[in-house]
Formats: sequence, C-alpha cells, structure tokens
Amino acid sequence: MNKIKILHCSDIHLGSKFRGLDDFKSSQRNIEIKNTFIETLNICHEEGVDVLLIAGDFFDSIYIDNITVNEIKHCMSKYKFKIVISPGNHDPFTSDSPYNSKWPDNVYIFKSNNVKYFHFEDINTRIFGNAFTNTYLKGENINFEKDLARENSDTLDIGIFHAEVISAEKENLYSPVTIEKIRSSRLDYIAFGHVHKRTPVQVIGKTSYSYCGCLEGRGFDETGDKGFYIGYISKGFVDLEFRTVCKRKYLDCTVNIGNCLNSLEACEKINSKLKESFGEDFNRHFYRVTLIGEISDEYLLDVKDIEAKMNSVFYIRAIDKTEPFLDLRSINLGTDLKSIFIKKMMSRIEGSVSAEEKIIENQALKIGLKAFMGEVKYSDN
Amino acid sequence: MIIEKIKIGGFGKFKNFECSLCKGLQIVYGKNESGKSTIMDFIMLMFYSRLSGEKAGKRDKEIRQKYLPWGGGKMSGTIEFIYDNRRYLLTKEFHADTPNKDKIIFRDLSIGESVSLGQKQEVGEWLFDLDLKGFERSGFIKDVGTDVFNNASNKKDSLSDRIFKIVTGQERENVSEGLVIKKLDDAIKDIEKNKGKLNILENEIYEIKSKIFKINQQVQLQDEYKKQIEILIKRIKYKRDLKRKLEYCILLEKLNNLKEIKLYIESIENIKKSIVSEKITYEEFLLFFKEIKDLKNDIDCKEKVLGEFTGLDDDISVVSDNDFEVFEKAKTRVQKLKDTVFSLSGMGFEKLSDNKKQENDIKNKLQSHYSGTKEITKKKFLSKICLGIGSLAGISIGLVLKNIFFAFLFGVFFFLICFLVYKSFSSKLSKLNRERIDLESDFNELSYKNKMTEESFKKILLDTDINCNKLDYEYILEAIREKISEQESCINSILIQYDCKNENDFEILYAKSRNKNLSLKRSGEMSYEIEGLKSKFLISLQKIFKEEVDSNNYFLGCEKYSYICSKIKDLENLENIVSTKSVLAGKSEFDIKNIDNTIVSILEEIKKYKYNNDVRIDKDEIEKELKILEGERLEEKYYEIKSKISLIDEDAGGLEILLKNKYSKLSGIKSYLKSLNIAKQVFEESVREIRKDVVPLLDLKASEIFSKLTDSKYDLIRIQKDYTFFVGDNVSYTSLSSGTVDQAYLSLRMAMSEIISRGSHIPFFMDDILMQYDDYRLGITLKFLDEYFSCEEKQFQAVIFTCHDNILEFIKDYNCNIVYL
Repeated sequence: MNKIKILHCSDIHLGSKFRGLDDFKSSQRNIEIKNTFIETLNICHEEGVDVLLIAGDFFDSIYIDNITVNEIKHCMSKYKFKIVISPGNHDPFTSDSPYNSKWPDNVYIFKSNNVKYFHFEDINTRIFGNAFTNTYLKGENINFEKDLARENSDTLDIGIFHAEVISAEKENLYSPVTIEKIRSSRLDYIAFGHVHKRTPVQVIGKTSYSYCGCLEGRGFDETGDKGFYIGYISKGFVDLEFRTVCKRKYLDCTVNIGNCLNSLEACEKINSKLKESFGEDFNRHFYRVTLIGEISDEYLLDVKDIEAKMNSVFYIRAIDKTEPFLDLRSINLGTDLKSIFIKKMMSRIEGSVSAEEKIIENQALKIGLKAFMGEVKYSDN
Repeated sequence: MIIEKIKIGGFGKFKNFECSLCKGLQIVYGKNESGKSTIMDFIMLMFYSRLSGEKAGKRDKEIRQKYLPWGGGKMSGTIEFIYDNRRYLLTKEFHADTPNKDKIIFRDLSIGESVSLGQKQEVGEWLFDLDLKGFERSGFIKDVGTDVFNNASNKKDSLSDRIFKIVTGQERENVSEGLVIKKLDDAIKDIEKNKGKLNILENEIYEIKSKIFKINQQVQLQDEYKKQIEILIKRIKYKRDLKRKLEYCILLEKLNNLKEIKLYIESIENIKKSIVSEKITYEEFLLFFKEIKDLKNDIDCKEKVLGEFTGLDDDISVVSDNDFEVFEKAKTRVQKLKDTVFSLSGMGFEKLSDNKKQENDIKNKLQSHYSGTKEITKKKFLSKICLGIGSLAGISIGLVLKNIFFAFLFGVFFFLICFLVYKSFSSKLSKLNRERIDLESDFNELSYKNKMTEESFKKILLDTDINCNKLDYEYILEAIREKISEQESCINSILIQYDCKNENDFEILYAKSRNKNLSLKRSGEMSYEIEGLKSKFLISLQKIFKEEVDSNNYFLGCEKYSYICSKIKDLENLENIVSTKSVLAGKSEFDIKNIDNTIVSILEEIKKYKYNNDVRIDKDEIEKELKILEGERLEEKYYEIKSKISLIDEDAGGLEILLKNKYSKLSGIKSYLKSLNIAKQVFEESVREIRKDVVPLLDLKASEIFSKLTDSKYDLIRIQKDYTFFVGDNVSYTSLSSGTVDQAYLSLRMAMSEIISRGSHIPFFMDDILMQYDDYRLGITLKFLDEYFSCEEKQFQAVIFTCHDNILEFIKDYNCNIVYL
C-alpha cells in the first residue's frame, strides 16, 4: 500500500513584530522563530519526510526582508524532500510577494485562489491546495466536490489549505470551509493552517484533518506547546503525532500570593510556583501570571514592581486579581471609617441582584480599600 | 475588666516578674528605663499576638526580637483577670518571630475549662469584640493633647481633624477622608475627562471600526473587480476559442481548397494528354495551334465579308457622279442663301435708311448751331467794348460837369448797364456750346453705327455672290429669293430624273449605286484568298494531328479544330480556377508534389486542434461573433480592472480581534468607573454616618468628663460638622492654654474609649500623660480619675505609668494601689 511521511506545519509568521517586547527581545524572538523553522527542515531531512506541508502564513507579511527569504531558500535548497506551500492571508501570492520569485526546485507554491494540485508521481501523491491572492479569500473558491479527488484510486490525495473550518455557511473572509465540504472532499488528509491553536487529528467521512497550530507562539492568545504534526499517511489511514519544537512558550499561571505582605514575598511565591509548574529552566518562557489570594490591606500591591523584580524571567506580565483580606469579625467590631465603609460595601454586595452588579461592587470595595493606601487610577493591569 | 495579676516568665528585661493590680485607679511607678513601656507592650501582646498597620509582619518580628529575654530563655507570661464576672487565666509562650507559632493557654477559671479560640483569633478580639487598634484606641493613651496639637500643626492638619481621625480610625491609615475622596475623584476624572482614558479608548474604537468599515468596502469593491475579471477571462477564453475555431476553419478550407486544386491540376494534365502527342509539349502545341487559330480567324473573317457582298440588291439604278455633283452644289447654294436671309433679319438692315435720314437731320442742326454761335460771339465782343467805352463816357461827362461825384456816378452807371448786356450774351453762348456738344456726340454715334451696318451688308452680299449697287434691304432680299428659286428648280429636275421623292432618297440611291460597283470587284478577289487560306489551315492541322485530318476536307478539319478549341477552353477555365484557388491558398502556383506536402502539413496542424470531425463550425457565424467581441475591448478592460485590484494591507481579522480587545477594555474601564463611583458614594455615606453617630455621642461624653476635669470651668466640647473644635461658649481650642488642651484631649480620649469599647470596660493605660499638668490640674484630674474608675457599676481599672514623684505625692490622698518597678 502506498504510504508517505509528511510534516505538517503552518503559521510560522517569519519576520513578525512583537508588541510588548523591546527591540532587542523582538529581534531575538524573530531569529528564534527562523531557527525553529530551520530546525524543522532538518527534522524533515533526518526523519525521511517525503513532503513538508506549510499551510500558509509562512511569512508575517509579503514585505519581508530579502535576507531572510534568501536564507530560507538556501536552507530549503539543501534538501531533497518536497516542500509545498499554500500562501495565507498574511503572505498572499501577489505580484510583489516573495513567492513570485525563483524558489528551489523542491519547493512547490500554489498561486491561484482556485484549487489546483501538484502530482508527485514518484510518491504517487497529489497535493491539492490554493493560495490567498489578497488579505482575504471568500469561501466560494474551495469547491471540493467539483475539483477534487478520484474515488477508488491508489493515489494519495492530500489537501493543504489556509482556511477557517466552520460548522455552517456564513460570511467569513478567511476562506471558510464547512465540515460538510471536508466530508465531501474525499481527500485522505487535509493540512489546515490559519488557526494558531492546534487541534487533534479529526476524521469526517474518509477524510482526516487538523490544524497543527503555529511553530512558535507570538502572544498570550497562543499559549502552551507549539510545533507540528509528523507521521505517515496512507489510503484511509493517518498516523500523525504532534511534536513540540518551540524555543519559548507563552504560559498562563495563577499564583496565590495571599498573606504576602510585600512584593519580595510575592515574587518568591511566584518564582517557586513557576519553577514547580514549568521546571528549572522556567525563566526562558513568556508568562502571564494572575495573582490571586487575599492580601492584607496593609500591603499595596504594585504589579509593575513585581514585574521589575522578576527580571530574570524572559517576559512576565502580572495581573492583579487579588482580593483584600477582610477580617469580617474585626470589621463587624470596628467603628472606624474603613470598617464602616467595608460593612456598607458588604451589605451592598449581598444585596446585589445580578452577578455583574456583584462584580462591580466587589471591585468598588477593593478600590475603596486601596484608596486608603494609595492611588486608585485605572490601569490596564 | 480587672487585671489582677501579671506574671512575666521572660520578656525583655523582666524575668520571673510578678505584680498584682486591683480595681480602680492605680500607679505603676518606675524611673526611666525601669520597664513601664515593656509592661504596656507585654499586656498588649498577651491579648493581641499580631500587630497591625503598615509592615505589620516586619514589626511583629521586630517587637519579638526587641523583647527577647535579656538573660535568654523563652518569652512567656501569664495574666489573670476578671471580665464580665468571670475569672480567666491567660498564659502565653511567645515565638521569637512568628505570632502564629505562639503557644496560648486560655482558661476560664470560673468553669475550669479552656476557651476555644477561632483560627487566628486573638484573645482580645474574643473578649472585647475589638481588634488591636480598637483596643489601643480605647485603652492606651500614650500622648498628650499638646503633642497631638503640635503634630497636627506640623502636618498642617487641624486638631479637631486629628482627633476625629483618631475616633474614626483614619489616624491609623495616616490618610484623611478628604485625601481618599480626592483619590477617588482623581481616578474618576482620569477616566471621564475630555481626552481621558474613556474618551481615548472610544476614539480608538471609532478609528478601528472606521478602518474595518473601509476594509469591508474595499473587500466589496475588490470582489466586484474579481467578478468582473472572471467574466472577462471567460469572455477572453471564449474569444480565444472562437479564434482557434476560426483558425481551424481556415485550415479546413485551405485543405479542401488544396484538394480541389489537386483534382483540377490532375484534370488539366489529363486533358493535355488527350490533345497532345507525347512528342511535343503542350506549350509547343499551343504555339502551333496559335498559327492555326490565326488562320482560321482570317478565313472566318473573310468568309463573313464575302457573305456580305453576296447579299447586295441587284435592282438599284446607277446615278452618275456629275448629276450627284450638280445636286450637291445646288443643295449647298440653297442652304447658304437661306442662311443669309436668316442672318439679314437679325442684323437690323431694315432700319438703315431711317438711321441715315436721322444722321442728316443732326448734321443740319449742327450747321445752324455753328452760325448762331458765331453771331453771339460777335455781340459779346461788342458788349465788352461798350463796357469800356460806356465807363469812360460816364467819367468824361462827370469831368465835363466838373463834378467828380457825378463823374464817378455816371461811370459806374454806364459800366453796370454794359456789364449786364455782356453777361446776357455770355450765358447764351454757354447754352449754345452745351447743345452743340450734345449734338456732335449724337451725330458721331449714329454715323459710326450706320457705317458699320453698311459694311456688314456689303460683306454678306459679297458672300452670297449677289451684285447690287443699292444697299436696300428689301431690294436685296428679293434678289436672294430669286437665286434660291433658281437652285431649287435645278434640284427638282434631278430628283425627277432619278424618280426620287426627296433629297434623302436621292442621296441613299447614290450611295447604294456606288457600293454596288465596288463590291462586285472585291468579292472576286476575296474568294481566291479564302481558298488559299483554307488549304494552309488544313496543312497546319495535319502537321499536328497527322492522319486524323484529311487535307482535302475543310469541314472535317473545322470539326477537329472546334474540338481542340473547346478542350483548350476547358483547360483555360480549369487553369483560371486553379490560379484563383492558388491565390486563395497563398501561392501563385502549385504542383502536385507541392500540394501533397502542404496537405500533409495542414493535416498535422489540424490534428493539434483536437476537434471532433463531427463538430459543425460555422465560419461566418464565428467571424460575426468575433467582430462583436473585438468591439467589446475585452483585453483592454481586463488590464484596466486588473490594475485596480490591489492588496488590502490591513488585516481585518487582526482589527476585529483588536476591536474585541478594545471593547473588553472599554467594558473594563466602564465597570471600573462604576465601581469608583460606588466606592466614592459609599465612602461618603460612611463618613456621613460616622459623623452622625459618633460625633454627638463623643461631644456629650467628652463634655461631661471635660467639665469635671476643669472643675466645671468648661462644660462643653463640640466637634462641628466642619471639624471645627470648640469648648465652652464657642471658644476655639486655639485660644486655650496647653494644659486645658491636654485636659480636652484626655476628655475626648476617655469619651472615645467608652464609645469604642461599648461598655467592655477595658483597662485604661495612661503613659505619663499628666506630666505637664500643674498641681491644680493634677489634683483635680487625679481626683476625677479616682472617682471615675472606682465606680462600682463600671468595674473599671486604670493604670497610670509614671516616673514623676509629684504624682505619688498627690495620689496619697486617694486609696490607690501603687506598683513600684
């Protein structure tokens, strides 16, 4: 039976800009992303991959610098395996896109909105795909029923699309593909790109499909492990495994800093929690740390101070979700202004009719208490 | 509450220290550094392990480090006390750092059971329902009024404000309600103000929405272009298909044409073979045959002429040439004379005699004119002379009369008369001259006209050969008519002679008679010539066709000739067709081999089109459609629209996410704003409430105590709504002496203690607060304190810590317990 080995990756976004990072770290991150891709090429070579599928948004923009493009071309040209690229909404195929230039012979790039295919006779495989030719692509261009695979053929039919899988037909600018369309495609496997979060390999009808997610996360909307799918595809059988290659991860973590009385204590708790959760080399990652717990109204929490103190970590953003420690017994006994204020607020919170109201009034309590200690101006944190 | 016994196992300088206290006022006396403050802190820590306020944890540690027993060992102690008619024993072993690790034994001795405290619950809280601060505010006075006042002044705060802060707990936070309100207000303004966070965010959202709207519009437009492009591409493809089909049609046509040409060429070759022997070429044959053809044409032509001669009329009479000449002359003469008559009538000859007569009349008039002019000229000359003579005669008469005046008068008179006469003759002469000139002009004109008419007349007469001396129109006309009549009679006699009705008949007759003579002569000659040509024609035919032609049978020869001619005609037609088709096929000439090669290559080309032979293609229809498509300028439109298709730089998806984030942020800000407003509202309510509830009570209790402390000098302390602090009859505290301020402060603190402790009767610890009191005030104050704390109902206990001996002196008057350190 015909069987090939593929590596499915997408949304690499070479040349991306990183908001929130300083120039040095941003440039370092860009180099890391490039190196991760080069490492992926090497994995393809070492593990005997037949086809590397890049399902769009290979570049963050078509205006990527030539040096990076040339370096990538050079690296690709060193290998024999086939590389198929389906340009996405970030790197559409246009007259001035880097795709519209000479690429190594083993690189195959789709250039049309409409579904076309490359037939690789040596591996008895056809790769179907299309390309964004602008920053958007409406759904009518992918018509599997009309364009695609032959039934009862020994040839492997694989799709590569930068598209958004949707449950029902609706207006969408990112090449929407319905589940029904996938079902009717009769392709053996569809390598999707566009969604940066990985999905498991799913099966509909005779077709398996998946989003492999991006190679490297670029924000806290792309948290966790990032990498690619690698494995074998044969007629009616898909055996792919997800493999992580990212240099750094975007990670969310919640740390209870209850009872901490100052930033140093809070930082110690955060450090030990990160180490416990993400290992000894935890500080190479990006963290969004949500601080929770009841902290004494004696301690005026300053997230910027905590972020500054945690400078050994590559990147950390702290979000204050702590609650003031309210000693209800003490409050009930208290005759001072703060106690009266708290009592009044607590009474209001108890009488809240909606959850939303409750949240706002809880926040009012927190603000009121904070006002005794320091500034209460709104900040993004 | 009454603390009965204090036992310190180890706490700072104290080791195995023990003292007993009792109800009411008592003194703990000791010099500086004897441990008064240590005991106060010991009591506080026994009831409250944990400190509060800023950096409480750190201070917890510090205070424990401070009071580590000097001689080593553990910090520990016991307090035995009565509270709410129950006896308790509180034993504590302090941990060196951490309050949570303190070992506490708290027993209710009345029932002999341990008291169970909640998690992290302090003994003080359990007993008094007060936190440490409340305990401190109600039971501990470590400062005096003037200190408070001075500190308040330093902080630019009012004394009343500061007292109020102590009462309301703001002192502990080191903030005023005003500052809290200001912070909340600032935060609200920071969001709400123009160009505030809310405004900025809303503007950002508006901008993003505008961008998204613009992108959507661009997308719509681009889609429209895309659709147009798709339609155009289809049309262009269709056009290309049509062009292909047309090319296919043209190739098919070319192929069929070539096949036809091939057939024609083959037919031509066959015909040539049928008429030409193998010994000569067709071109040589054509040269021979041309000679034969010329001969045949010559024969045919001559036979035709001969046929004409043989058809002439034999009954025609012969007209002599002389008669015909006379006839012709007479006819010409008649015509000329008639023309002359016609010419004369149009030239005005009939008026010539009248004009001559008129000319003579004018001539006569001129003659008489000349003589008249002469006479008047003479008379004019005479009058000129008379003018001179008359004037002289007048002057002479005057001179004769010896009167100059008369001489002048007569002279002028005669001159005038003579001048008038002269003038009359001059005007007559001028008139005559004008008339003479007119007459001379008329005469000259008429004379010239008459002369010209006469000359014309003479010329016509000379032309018509008529001799006439008299130039009279009628006369001459008659002479011409006679001549015409003579000539006509001559013509008529000839016509009668040849029996002709008119001149035309005679002329035709003359022509026929003349031809007949010539034809008879010519036909003889021609018959001979034709026989010679026929023989030559047959010989020539025989040269080519040999025995097929009989040299004696012209008829058979002609048949062969006609047959060959028809074949040649056929060939020529075929060659013409081939030539036309060759031109259509793009070549001037073809040979069979050439055609075959071309057909093969065309067939190859046709194969490339892969059209089914069954497909019916209408070339005219295609050309018509192509013409319409050319008019549509499809390629031009395609490039025009293609140039409009551009990349949309902004990523709508990214903007949507950004918008979502901004909306979420907006919602966050709005909810924060709501929270701020709620916090502010509740805070203000709290302030109002605390003022409403606490201040009047404070006023009442403080006034009662202050009245007693000042021996009724001042019976009132009032804290105003604006925190203005008055004593007595609206006397501001700023006008009071420092001793009175201290008393006022003590009154307020004691009142506060009552309010805060809510009847818990917590022991009152005063750390040297009376040191600035003069003897009078000290006496009154100690007396008051003794009475206040000895009250049976209240079960009060007050401890004054002091190092001042005078207090011991004063206290002697009262039954007070004194503990010496």
